[in-house]
Amino acid sequence: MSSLIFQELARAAANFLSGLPQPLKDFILFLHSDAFIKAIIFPGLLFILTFVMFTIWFERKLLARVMVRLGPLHVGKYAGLLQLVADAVKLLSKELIVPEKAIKPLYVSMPILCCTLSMLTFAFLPLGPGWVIYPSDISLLLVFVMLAITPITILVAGWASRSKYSFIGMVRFAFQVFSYEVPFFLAIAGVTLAARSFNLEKIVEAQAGLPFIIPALLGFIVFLITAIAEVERVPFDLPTAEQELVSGWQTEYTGAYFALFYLAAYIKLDVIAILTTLLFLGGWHGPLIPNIPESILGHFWLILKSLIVVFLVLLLRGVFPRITLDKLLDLGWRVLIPLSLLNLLIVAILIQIGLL
Amino acid sequence: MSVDAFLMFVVVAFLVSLLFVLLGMLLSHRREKRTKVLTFECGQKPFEWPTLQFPIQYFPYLIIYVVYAVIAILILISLFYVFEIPDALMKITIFLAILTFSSIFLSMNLKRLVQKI
Repeated sequence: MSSLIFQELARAAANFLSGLPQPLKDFILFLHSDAFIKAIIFPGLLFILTFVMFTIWFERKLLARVMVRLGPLHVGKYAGLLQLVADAVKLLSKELIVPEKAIKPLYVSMPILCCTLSMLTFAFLPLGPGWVIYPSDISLLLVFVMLAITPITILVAGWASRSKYSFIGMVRFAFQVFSYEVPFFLAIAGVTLAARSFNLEKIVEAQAGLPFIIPALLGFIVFLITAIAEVERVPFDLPTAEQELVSGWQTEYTGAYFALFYLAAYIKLDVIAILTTLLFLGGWHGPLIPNIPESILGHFWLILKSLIVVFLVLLLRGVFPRITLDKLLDLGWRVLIPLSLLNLLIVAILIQIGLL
Repeated sequence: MSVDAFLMFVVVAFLVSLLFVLLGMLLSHRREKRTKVLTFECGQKPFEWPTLQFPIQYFPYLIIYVVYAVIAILILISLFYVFEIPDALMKITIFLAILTFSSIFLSMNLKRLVQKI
């Protein structure tokens, strides 16, 4: 019965298309093409923006609940869902000020570059079997490259502002990022050794039976801590510590430039959440659910798991105070690097015994 | 086809970021004022700040960074070796064991290193 209806619909659509003029037909076919759907709709732009908007709304609502407040309430029909749109309009209507001491070309171009680069990380993350914008055999390394390039734009932005608060924030950021990149990388190496591939899709396929969080638990802990430090969330938000350094490296930025940095920070947070899901929590594998069709089951599990990771990361902001720089460096060099190496050794021994 | 999607995504990501700035220029009003373009200073008069300052007490960490970045790359190359030749895993395991226990030893001694320098 339903297949008959589909056939009828397809015939009607074909009739409709053949009646249209050629340019319009080409345009409709272009909207239907694989490239367009991937780049603009699902793993691409619209999905990223929706996910980021939801993350920011969720953070404000969650923090409000932690502090026994109500949070955003009035804008939008339900629970201040459109608060973010109102904030964006407000930020865009603010004056764009370039300080007279700042190095103008760098100061102006860095927010655009930062947002673009952090959005490009999504191109290498598979959000389902085959649902990736740029399929590659070394996609994990490409994601790492993008995550390692983005901080450089922030360093340049902090330096080009020529303000003492920006400068102190930038130096702190440099210490934090460069000391946490090494354990981050080593924790990823443990997963690649277990899956014997740098392809993220193959890594997820290798977790069909057992998610890597169980053999590589140490790696998961190290990865999550370093990832939180990479995206400057509390308790590692030293570079943008409001109470000490006005707003850290983004002190001088206003209006649309600030909005871009804000957006980039949350895009990075979502990248980290999805990457954690792909590497350690089994990606799109999960038990069947009766009412959800199988075609979107994988996406459903992936997004659900990454939302749980986002929830954990956001909750830290309501729970923990900020740590100091020497403790942060101590944790990075003295605890996380030996732990990540130990994790790598455990994985190698497990493979040697034949358990993985 | 996949490269096509990637190119489109790169262009769109750049255009969206650019659109933000253009919208900001379009929607915002502009009123020149001397105090607006001054460097931010918490309500005080801005004073000179030496541009390059570096907290020297963290210098040991920089040296360790140089060492460990190289080690991380070494581990990566050895991982490629394991993908190609699965029998090589034994050597890699020994290498990792030496590295792990030396790093644990180092981290136990590092606590005193910072105060020394």
